[in-house]
Amino acid sequence: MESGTQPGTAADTSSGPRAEILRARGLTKVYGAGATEVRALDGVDFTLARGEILALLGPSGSGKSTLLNILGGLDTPTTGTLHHGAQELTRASDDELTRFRRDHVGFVFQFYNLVPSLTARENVQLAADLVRAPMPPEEALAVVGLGPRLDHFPAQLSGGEQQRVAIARAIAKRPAMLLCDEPTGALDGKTGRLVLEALLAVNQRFGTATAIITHNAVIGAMADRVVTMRDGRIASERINPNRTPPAALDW
Amino acid sequence: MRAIDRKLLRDLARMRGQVITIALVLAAGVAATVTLTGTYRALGAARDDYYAAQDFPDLFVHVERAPDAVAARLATIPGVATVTPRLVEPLAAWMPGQARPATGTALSLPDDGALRGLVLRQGRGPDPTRADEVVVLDSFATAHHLAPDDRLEVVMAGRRHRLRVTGTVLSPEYVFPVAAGVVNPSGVVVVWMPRPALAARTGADGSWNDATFTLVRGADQRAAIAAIDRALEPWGGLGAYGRDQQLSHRFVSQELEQLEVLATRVPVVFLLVAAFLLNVVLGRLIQLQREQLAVLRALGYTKAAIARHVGAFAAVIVLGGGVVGVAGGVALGRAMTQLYVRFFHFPSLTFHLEPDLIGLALAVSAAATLAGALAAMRRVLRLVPAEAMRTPSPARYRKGVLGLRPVARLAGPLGRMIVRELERKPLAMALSVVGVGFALAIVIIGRFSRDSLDALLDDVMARSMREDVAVVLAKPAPIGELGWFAHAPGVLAAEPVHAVPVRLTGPRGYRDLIVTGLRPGDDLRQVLDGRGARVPIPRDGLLVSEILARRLGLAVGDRVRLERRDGDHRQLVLPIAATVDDRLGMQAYLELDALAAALGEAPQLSEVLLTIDPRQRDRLMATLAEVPGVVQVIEVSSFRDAFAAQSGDSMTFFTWLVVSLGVVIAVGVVYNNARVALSERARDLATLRVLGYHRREVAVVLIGQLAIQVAVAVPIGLWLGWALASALMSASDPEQYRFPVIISAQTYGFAALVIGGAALATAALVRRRLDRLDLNDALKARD
Repeated sequence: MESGTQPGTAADTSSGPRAEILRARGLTKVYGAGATEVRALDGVDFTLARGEILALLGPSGSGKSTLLNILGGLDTPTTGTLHHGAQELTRASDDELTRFRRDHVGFVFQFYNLVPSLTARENVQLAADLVRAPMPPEEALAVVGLGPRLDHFPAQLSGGEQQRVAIARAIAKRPAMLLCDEPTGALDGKTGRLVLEALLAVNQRFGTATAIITHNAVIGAMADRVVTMRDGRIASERINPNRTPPAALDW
Repeated sequence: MRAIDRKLLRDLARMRGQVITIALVLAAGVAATVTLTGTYRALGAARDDYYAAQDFPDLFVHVERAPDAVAARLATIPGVATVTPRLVEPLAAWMPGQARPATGTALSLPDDGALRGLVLRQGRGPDPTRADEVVVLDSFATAHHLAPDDRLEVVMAGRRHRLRVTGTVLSPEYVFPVAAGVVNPSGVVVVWMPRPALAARTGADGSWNDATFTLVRGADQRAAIAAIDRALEPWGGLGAYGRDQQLSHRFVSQELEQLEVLATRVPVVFLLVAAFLLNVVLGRLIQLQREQLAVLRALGYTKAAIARHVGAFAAVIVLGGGVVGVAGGVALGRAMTQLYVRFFHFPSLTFHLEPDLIGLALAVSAAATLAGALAAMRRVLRLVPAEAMRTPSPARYRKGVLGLRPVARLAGPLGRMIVRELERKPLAMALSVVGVGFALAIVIIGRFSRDSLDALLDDVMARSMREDVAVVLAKPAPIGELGWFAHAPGVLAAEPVHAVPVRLTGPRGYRDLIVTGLRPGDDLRQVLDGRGARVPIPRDGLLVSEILARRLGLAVGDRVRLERRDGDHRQLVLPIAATVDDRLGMQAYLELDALAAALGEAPQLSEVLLTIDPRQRDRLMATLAEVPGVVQVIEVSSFRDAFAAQSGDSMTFFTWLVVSLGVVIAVGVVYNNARVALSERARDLATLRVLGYHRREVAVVLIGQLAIQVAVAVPIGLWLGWALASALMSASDPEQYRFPVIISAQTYGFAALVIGGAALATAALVRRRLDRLDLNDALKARD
């Protein structure tokens, strides 16, 4: 199994195909049965490449979140395969999935999901405690620009600050990939841009592959690749040769 | 410290109100276990050690008079280890400041004056060369401030005797100082003196009239009794009996049996409630923490790690509750044991906290918590990490699940919120209701024994024993003697009773009991059935307790064999004319004349029942004290008072103990319910405030929910209390006591008030919390 992190490796943002981290083939996810059956995913082929920023666009109910949950080992597909390197996650046990998440994946949620009884630093430490060589919480918080607010509780932080703590928590494990579900969904434009800058900083500094789910098409401009979903299928995919820095995005 | 441990500590601190109240509920269960079990053991050990150290006899027998040589023959009966023949003489003592004489017994010591079987408390034993030296029962000496060298004047064998007290003693035969009808230590006098001295005063040289026996281990007691009775028949043996009929032993053993019932049943109720409460509260706390726990799973924490995290939360409650419970239980156990020291006279009676008791207490509390936490744990383990990724969707409400639709329509939006919340979680609602109901039931348990005692006193004593004074004669006298009593000063009416001790044998065994002969027209002693209706005494046979007939396999119309047990061993056969479902003991009644005819005697009386003019009471007492044939003068009112006072003491303690524990549980349940509801609905309530509802309107939503739960819980709790009381009651021996569960309206009212009070206090607390609700925080935070 490959090691999850390559600190300090700057991402190559300009050239050719990169090594795959995740490879999904023919993923379907069906909820319910009979008349109430819902096909959340309907035959999705998908890859996530090392070091890329990927935007996953699509309207509500298009299957973005289901796909992200399956990619992150939070959920399992009804059919299809998902490989992480040589490991087939679709055959992994719950323990193996937990280990996969622990060692390789960082999550960022729309509603931050910080533990309210822990300070910013402690929330980051919660993740750091899980791995052998974590990033010190202070450093992770500095990367997202929250150095001075280490000892504040979530309730004392603004939404944008909370989301940046969540990003710091996600990267403290030095994961190879960050999976972000509507990370700016609950934030205003200005605060959202700050959060996206934090994600970009992480990507550039550590080469962390970053998948961002959003229904905000503008955000696609900062990604290397934009995948659009509709009705559980991938409707389109395009490479973005000229990324726009988050500060220049406007919505 | 790991961040997840820090989260545990912060969660504990944040929810301290809930943690503390649940721990206290658990502590209440543990304390009840430690107190009741510990006191039961202390009392049992004190009795057993005392009996063993002092060779408390296994059998007792009283005879008319037997020569010394007979005692040696008794020692050869198989199974008998030792025989101690002695002289026993009834006596009375007028003590200063007492309206009536103390009654009791003089007992002989061996010729050398050794205090065998006695524990010297003060002074020394009597000198066998001095004819007037005695040791006195310590409880009597203490009550009258008698000390060594004091004089004691007694009436014995019809004469006055001046005795010198050399010491005070404890005797295993008088752990509970009781003489028939007297349970007050100051009224029961017992003295011991060397046999020659006692023989000289009663004219009983070279003979004895009482003996005690110890048996070899494993001996057949019934066979030994039969052999002793055969050997003593020529000497007027009154029938040997075992410890079970020894008065002091019986009182102590009954108390022990009661304690055992309480010790084995009450804590179970508490711990079940505690487990139940933990289940509900932990379950709902975990529900509240679902997202946080899901985030932990998403971060990569294993199921085991999260189960440990939740388990540690429960463990803190167990340990906290366990420690507080053990400490509280020891304090309460000491107090309760102290209570027994006041009326059971053991050489030592101390409450010890034995290690296995701590183990037991912790095991039960851990079991309660485990049972309580298990369901919550399962829910954690089923938790899907993707939960954390889902956008929050409104909770699913449905209309009219509980058929409350019409209510909801009438209630307006706030009322509808209450009704829908109850309908959304019928199970949670039901569990809360049952929890509150249990708390109320426990309060009832704490008070119902007092109700039962009142019923016993009212029913049995006031309505069936209607006399003011019962006079017990040493020997049955001709019925004509009644005239003398009827004309004694202050007597308004006198009625005779002839009580004959018999052994009544049926197809399924025998019982030793008293056949009571009553005159058909008399009123002072009445036989009442279970509904309190008077049952007439039949002319043509016995009226017996239904339980007696059932236990012996007898039916109305059967002829039964009775063997006299008062020195005369003649047998008689009588038909059973009727049975009565009475409430106390095993009784048999017959018309007084019919009894005499069956015995082949002229009508006799052994007791006289009197109603008196209270103004002439003292004069009457003084007169009766001078009558040689009178052994006991029992005033029903003082008997009642003494009985009530004595049972009252231990009962007050028990009531107080159980009621406080019930209150702890009530507060625990109600408070936790309210707090969980508050955290679940903080957002809704904040939204209402933002919309422009007043604080008090918002409070209505939460407090209304609480009020509905409590209102529903009260009738359920009253029923549960009755059911639990019945379960406790079913443990008492029906041959002694057959009361239906009696719970007074006051007890029901009191229990409902306690629960209502707990609910009001909680409502006030919730109101304060609501007032401090930060609208922004509540709307922002998703925990």
